[in-house]
Amino acid sequence: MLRRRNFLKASLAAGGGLLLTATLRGPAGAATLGTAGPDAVALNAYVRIAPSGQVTITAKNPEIGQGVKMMLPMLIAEELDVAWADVQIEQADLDARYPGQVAGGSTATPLNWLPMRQVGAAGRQMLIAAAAAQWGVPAHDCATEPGKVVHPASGRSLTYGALASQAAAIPVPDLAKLPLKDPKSFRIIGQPTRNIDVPRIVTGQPMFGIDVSVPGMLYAVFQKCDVHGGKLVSSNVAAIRGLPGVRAAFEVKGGADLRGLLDGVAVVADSWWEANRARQQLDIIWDEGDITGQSSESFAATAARLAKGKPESSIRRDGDVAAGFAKAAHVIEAAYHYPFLSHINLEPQNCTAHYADGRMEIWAPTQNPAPGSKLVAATLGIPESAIKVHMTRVGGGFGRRLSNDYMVEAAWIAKVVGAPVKLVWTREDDMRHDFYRPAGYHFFKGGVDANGRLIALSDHFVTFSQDGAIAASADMGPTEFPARMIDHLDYGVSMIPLRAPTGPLRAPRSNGLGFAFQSFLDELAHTAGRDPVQFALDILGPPRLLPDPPGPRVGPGFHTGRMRGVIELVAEKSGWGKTKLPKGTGMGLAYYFSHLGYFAEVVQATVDAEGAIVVDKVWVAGDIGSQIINPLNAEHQAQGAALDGIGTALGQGLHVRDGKIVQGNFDTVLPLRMRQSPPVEVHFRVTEFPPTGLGEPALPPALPALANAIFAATGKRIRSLPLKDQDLSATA
Amino acid sequence: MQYVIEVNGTARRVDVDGETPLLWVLRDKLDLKGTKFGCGAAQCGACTVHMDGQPIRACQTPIASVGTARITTIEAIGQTPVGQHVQAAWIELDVPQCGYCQAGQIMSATALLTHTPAPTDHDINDAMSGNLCRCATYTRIRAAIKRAADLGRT
Amino acid sequence: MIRLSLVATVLASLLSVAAARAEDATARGEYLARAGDCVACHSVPGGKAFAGGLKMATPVGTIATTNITPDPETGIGRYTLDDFDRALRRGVARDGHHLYPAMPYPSYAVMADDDVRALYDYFMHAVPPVRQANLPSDIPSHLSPRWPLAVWNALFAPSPGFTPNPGHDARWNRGAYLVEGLGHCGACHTPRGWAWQEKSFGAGDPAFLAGANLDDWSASNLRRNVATGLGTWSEADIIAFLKTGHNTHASAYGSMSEVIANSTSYLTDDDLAAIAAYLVSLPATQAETPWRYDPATATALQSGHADAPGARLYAGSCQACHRETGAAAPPYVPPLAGNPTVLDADPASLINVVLNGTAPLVAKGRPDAYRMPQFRAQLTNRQVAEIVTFMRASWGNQAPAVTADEVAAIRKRTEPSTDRIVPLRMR
Ligand code: FES
Ligand code: FES
Repeated sequence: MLRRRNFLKASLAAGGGLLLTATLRGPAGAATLGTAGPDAVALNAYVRIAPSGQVTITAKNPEIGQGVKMMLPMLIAEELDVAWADVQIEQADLDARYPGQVAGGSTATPLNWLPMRQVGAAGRQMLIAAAAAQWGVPAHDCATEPGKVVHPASGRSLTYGALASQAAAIPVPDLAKLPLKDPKSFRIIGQPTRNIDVPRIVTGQPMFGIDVSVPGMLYAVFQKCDVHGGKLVSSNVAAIRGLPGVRAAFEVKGGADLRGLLDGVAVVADSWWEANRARQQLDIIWDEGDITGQSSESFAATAARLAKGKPESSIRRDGDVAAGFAKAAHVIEAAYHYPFLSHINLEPQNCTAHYADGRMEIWAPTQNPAPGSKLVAATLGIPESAIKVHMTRVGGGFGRRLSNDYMVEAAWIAKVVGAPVKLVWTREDDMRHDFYRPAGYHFFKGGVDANGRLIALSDHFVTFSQDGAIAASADMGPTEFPARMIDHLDYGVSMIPLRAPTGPLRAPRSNGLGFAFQSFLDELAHTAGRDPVQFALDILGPPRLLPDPPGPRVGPGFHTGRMRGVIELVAEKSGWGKTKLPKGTGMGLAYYFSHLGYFAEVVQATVDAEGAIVVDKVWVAGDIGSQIINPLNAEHQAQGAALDGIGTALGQGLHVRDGKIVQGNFDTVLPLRMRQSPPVEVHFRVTEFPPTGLGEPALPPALPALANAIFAATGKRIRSLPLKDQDLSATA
Repeated sequence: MQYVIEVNGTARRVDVDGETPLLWVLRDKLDLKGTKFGCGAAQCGACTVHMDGQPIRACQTPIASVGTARITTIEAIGQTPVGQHVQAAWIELDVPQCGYCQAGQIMSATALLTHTPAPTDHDINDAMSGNLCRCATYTRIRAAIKRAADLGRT
Repeated sequence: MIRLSLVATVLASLLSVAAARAEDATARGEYLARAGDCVACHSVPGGKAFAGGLKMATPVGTIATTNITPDPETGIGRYTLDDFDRALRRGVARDGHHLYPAMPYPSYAVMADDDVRALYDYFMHAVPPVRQANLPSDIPSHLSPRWPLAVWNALFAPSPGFTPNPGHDARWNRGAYLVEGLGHCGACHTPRGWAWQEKSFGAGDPAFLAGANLDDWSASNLRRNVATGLGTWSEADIIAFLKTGHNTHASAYGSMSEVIANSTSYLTDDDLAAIAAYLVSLPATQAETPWRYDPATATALQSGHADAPGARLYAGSCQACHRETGAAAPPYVPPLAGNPTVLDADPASLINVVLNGTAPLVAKGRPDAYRMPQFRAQLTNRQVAEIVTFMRASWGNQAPAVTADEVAAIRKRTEPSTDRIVPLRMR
């Protein structure tokens, strides 16, 4: 039973909210948040129109801070032709009527750009048909203005509100044949549009998963083995039951799938604090399984040993790399490393679940509700039709919430307890039970000819396997830059078995590969005595499309001209090569193509005698196609992604010891702080290609651009992250 | 143990163990969910509230230590002119991304502007570096603090 | 051989506090094992109780503690009561080799015969035998021959037995027995001399419990020094500290957290009171200016314009918990104002805590709710030095400044504390 909305109202009235709405109503002309009233008529699954003309648009995808809750309704509203001020946005639940309710891979724009516009256009067509029928005129003589259908010949008009009931009865037209607006006439798309949730955010209204409140709700914590997948042998759970506030404490037998329910002990109490206090007195004996070699030191040693031999398998081979090196004027070798990373969403994993009368109701901050619902169904043996998943606002996604382990835990505990239960993880739980960005080791060799051109490159990539197969997000594809652009190339891979689970983190693969490759390419440019911008343009060659080889991840290919474009743009905007920098200050360039976006970035950084790094400024240039749907949000996403990269490079990295993640909180894993945060200047290059996404592709170049800037500033090459573990002082 | 604490101008009675952090009293006992939990270790600032006008981390403030201090949370920060300016600037500059950290950011920013009406970048760095934003909205937080300072002057 | 001397018989009646509570010998033995904190050294986290294997650094090299479960092959299963007594009170193992004085036998020497027997019964009958071979120690060979230990013992180790001080009451004597004996408080809190020997083993000597630096922790002065010692602590304060790890003056950290987790939190109120009565009787080593609160720092921090070096860093990293007043929220979050650790002439503990944080404080299996996070990764040596110096010169605190070099040295030698709760099981 959902009483949350009532609660929202109540707390708004009790706090300072009422006062604020008077002073802080959003700027005129902005959409609002809300739910369609009972008098609103549904044109389709996305659009409901009230007699007043207010249009309620359903935002189907999970909002994790990427702005999709604004963007998709903007597409619909544009083609429906309504005034943005008349739009009200409602968050969807998980619902079979909506395809692709997932936040991941920067896919929302490419996947929804046309379909959402078609949804709006269909609605518009139906409203026109209704008006035409009422007036007895051909539909093609009618047109729309925001919120109304007009018949220019007679000067008649009818509002959408007046037409809604009749329009709803009209069959939905063939989406594929619908005329769409000429982008030149866009009124909403392309307008910098503020996020309508901000007034609620700044007044502290409950909107996140962790804020969910259900009558009679209890609070839960769940203790798992710090070695992922460890088995519970015995515990003092009986002693926990008598502790203050504790309502239930029980052992849970999970399965072997690290993405599903695992062994652990659940403690349920009247308040979360009591549950967690009681849980801290648990004494559990675990069977940790085989943890031999499961430590960071051992991984590094194994990687170094593997690098001495041949790669276990080949990823790509072009030309004859040995011959290429033989011909080269300069050959260098270098080993690069990046660490395991946790997603560290600021909102720790949590989920609220209520099982009653054979039905499971779930409120979850998830990026990917559909597999969560399936997981709950399979694990608990409930038909999926009896599961309802509500999507809450999500306090940061970054890929962590593509997995739904916390959802199945909450559901399991709620079913055992028979009351609504909110499960909240501690930060330590969160950091120690993540699906980690896999660490990686790259053993590079590169050769440049006498003209300073890159002619041969090899990489022995040492990565991780899980249960014999390559670990999730730990692979590298055959198109990894600069493959397809140089003659002699050899990429091979070897694997180290890993116990900890891995998974995608914002710009998966690219966030590590970009650092290693772009740093080594910079190293090669300097070896060749070339300016890195010129060196890059040389590798890219003339503008052309390089198609992807057939394979599971075949995409639209790589366009060298688009990459040249952003490199030239960022060089121009940053004053590359033109600015005289003081001693200890340097600029670094990096560029990377991921998630269909082309990005080049320049970082300027200063390193003082004690080795302290100040990132002075970041310039970002991107090409995400012909249309930026919400330029305000686009700038924010690009800034956030670039700074995420900077923060990751500076302060984040996990150590594994005896199969456990050592770090647990923000005193050891250091996200970027205000003090370290530079200004970020973002420029977009508009090209004729279809619009693509932005949550991820601005991230990968930031890390190597910073590492390359540090080299420019100090002459010290950064081959391992994070930077906090490096001594960059003058005496080092 | 019974405690009566003053929250947002109202006396609230709660019955909890004295070591319970103010954060959980606010969130789970008083249903003021604007104050967020991020780390429980004074490292993220998501739980920042004001105690007699000073920003404190509610996750590290045992209820037993609150006494007669005045607690102000995000739900009531708009009752002061400075708080209103901060909220208005936040909306104007579209500061949040996921928004989870923002209550804490606003509480710290309001405390800063209350005693330093025209903060320098250095002041902002010092006052705001205890508040993490995982989405890295720092450029806009900085700009919004300056904007709020402007609003306070006019 | 155990001889019940007249003194010990008299003592036995003094010791009836514990004895009366103990139903049988093994329960009493278990209590004594708690008081002696045997588990702290003879177990490793996650390992079997009393199976040894803990590596301990000493000035001559690393030694590993031994298996003291009653396993006949690898433990002490073949020990007779006499063997056990010789090891416990004289530091001589069953095979005749001399134990390194990391084993606090010079303190245990004080133990009464009855208690030795009870402890023996406990280890032989209540502790499950564990077959776990002892690790070799890596003491360099030129230092390895153990015969010099016999000489060491002759020079420094007190002879067995406890002589009650007739000038004090039974409670004080009980406290003395626990502090000087089983509690082996002096092992950390008494300065050591040229041969790593504790300079003193009893109340009569002003060096006893006068504070010492061990492994980059400054174990506090436990005497009545009004600033750097326990001079302002009441008996109730001392009892609260030993029972829970904190009181209104301070919180435990470093190895004292483990002492509380595994030993003192299990002691009876009577025994804690006896310890407190004894400690408050130890005169100060020197006259000190008593600490007086000075509100100037708080005023400056409140205005947001404190400009002393380190003040802004303090405001950014520390103030949210320890507050502008430095008074924090005791007993949960310790004050910095007037805290003996902050006032300590030796800043090692303060630096160590800022760099490495503290492990969760556990009392009788219940962990503390508030923990000091580590700042090792967030602050440079210079910044730590500035913050620590600021703390030592604020709110009326008057302790010397700290340099970045001191911080650098401690950073290099120390490891961050764990945030995990690691129970050491006794059974
Ligand atoms: S939750 Fe209190 S500082 Fe992070
Ligand atoms: S807006 Fe997401 S953490 Fe700050």
